[in-house]
Amino acid sequence: MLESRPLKAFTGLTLILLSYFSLKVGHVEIDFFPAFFDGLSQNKTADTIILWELRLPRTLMCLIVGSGLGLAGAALQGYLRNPLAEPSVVGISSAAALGAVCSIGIGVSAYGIIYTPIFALIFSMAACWTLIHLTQNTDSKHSVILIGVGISALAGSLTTLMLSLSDNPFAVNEIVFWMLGSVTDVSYFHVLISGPLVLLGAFFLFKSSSDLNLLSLGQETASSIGVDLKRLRLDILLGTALIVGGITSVTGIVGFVGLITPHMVRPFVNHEPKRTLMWSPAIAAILILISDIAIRIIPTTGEIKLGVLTSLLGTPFFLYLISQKRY
Amino acid sequence: MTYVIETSDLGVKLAQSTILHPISIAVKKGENVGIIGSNGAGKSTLLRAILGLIPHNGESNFTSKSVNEKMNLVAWVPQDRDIVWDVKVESMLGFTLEKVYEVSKPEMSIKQTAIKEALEITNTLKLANHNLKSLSGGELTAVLIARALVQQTPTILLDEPLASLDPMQKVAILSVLQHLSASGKTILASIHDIDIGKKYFSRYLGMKSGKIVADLTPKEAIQKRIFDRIYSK
Repeated sequence: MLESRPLKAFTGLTLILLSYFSLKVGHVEIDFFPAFFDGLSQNKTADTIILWELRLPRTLMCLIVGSGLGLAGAALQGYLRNPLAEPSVVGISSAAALGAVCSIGIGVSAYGIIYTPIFALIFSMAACWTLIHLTQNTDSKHSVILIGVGISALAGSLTTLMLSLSDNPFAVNEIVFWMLGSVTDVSYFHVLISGPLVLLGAFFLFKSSSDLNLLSLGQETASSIGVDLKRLRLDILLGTALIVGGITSVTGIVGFVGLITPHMVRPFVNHEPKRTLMWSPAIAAILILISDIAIRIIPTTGEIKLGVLTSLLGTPFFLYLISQKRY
Repeated sequence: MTYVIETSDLGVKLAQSTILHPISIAVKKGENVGIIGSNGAGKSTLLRAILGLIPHNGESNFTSKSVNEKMNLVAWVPQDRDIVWDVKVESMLGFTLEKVYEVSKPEMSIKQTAIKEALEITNTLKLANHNLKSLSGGELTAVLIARALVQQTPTILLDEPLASLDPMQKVAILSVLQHLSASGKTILASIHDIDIGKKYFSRYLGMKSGKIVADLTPKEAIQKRIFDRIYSK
């Protein structure tokens, strides 16, 4: 059981060690501890700039992306009672990306960078609402995924339309690369945009964690034991939209983390939705840190995008789940 | 007379068509009542409407209650037994218990005692550490009844508790329901198996086309002319 003290300590230690490697590993080798303490004493050297201004925001963003998407995946799977659900599979990430592209396409992002996450948030909320509204009267797991595929396809085609209507080929190129999902060029500003949104979203999702346990018995039983289904739906909708919108507006689409992580956690927490929700953020953060370190270690001419790597790992897992009918 | 289940002109309409015509019934404390009727007669709809789980006209003694009040008055065992997460039986009962005692925060020993008692009554104590997906249909039904029992309500409503069970499993579930009504709980269950159930239910309500068409003793329920009246097209 993950609740055992040694496993808790192991998970915490792994997170700390991976965060250390995430700060240390890169194209340029730095003396970590001197750079760390020089940075604290405002002594600017090349190493302190690399550590404090490039790598630390990137590491923090990895922690935010991992924990946020792990949490959103576990919450969506728990609420929709569907082990295949996760923000990118059911179209919420694509919708958030469409919102971000719209903000750039119609030019409002020029008035302030804050408009991009606001647009991402509104679009992800619309996707969540559509998904939850269209699936509330069905317990069919296939319907949930098919509706999600529909939302994803619509958001994807509208994004392509926005891009094809753009008269700036360089901006199009940049947006396409951004959409692949990356934490490469993030700054503290991005961390300050995503962090609070993810924290606020996490508040709504953790608040509903006990109700997800009761929902595992079906909506009718949950309702008969006093679960307020309308409030729960609102909490899940707001929580997921805040997290996915906050993350996607900064990093682009980082898919499948929310799918894989709850499946990794479940055998250790007796498959309980609440405990899956509690542990998925830490395990997902570990996955993202490992992926981002791997990206920097793998010798390639250009850096592989984080979203590409997580999709490469996640898609076979998704297909495996379907082939095993473990849903 | 103390009635623990009462409805007053309780009806259900769906897109202009009437699924359940206004129904007024009353069930006494400790009664074990079976609702019979062909598929689509409105048995499940009536049970859901009594609990206020679906939009309805009229009222039952539960529909006006708040969710927390209702939780302490009546427990529900649905027909849908789609298990998604393979949790342990004990944990599944624990989820309900945590909700029931949310305000009063029970001691762990009280929790364990309540779960043990519920599993003992339903003869499933040996399954406490089993995962839900490893259970047979009969075991799962018994465990879902145990879940309803930890809610510690005076009344339990069950939708088709005998569906997809073999004769032995049906008898086992019916014995549990009979034991519960003998200990003072009120049972209202929709069923199809009048023959097997005749020994166990104290009364039958016959439904046809969204109406209650008969209020029967177990002996009456198996009479051919009454059976024909309820089940004929």
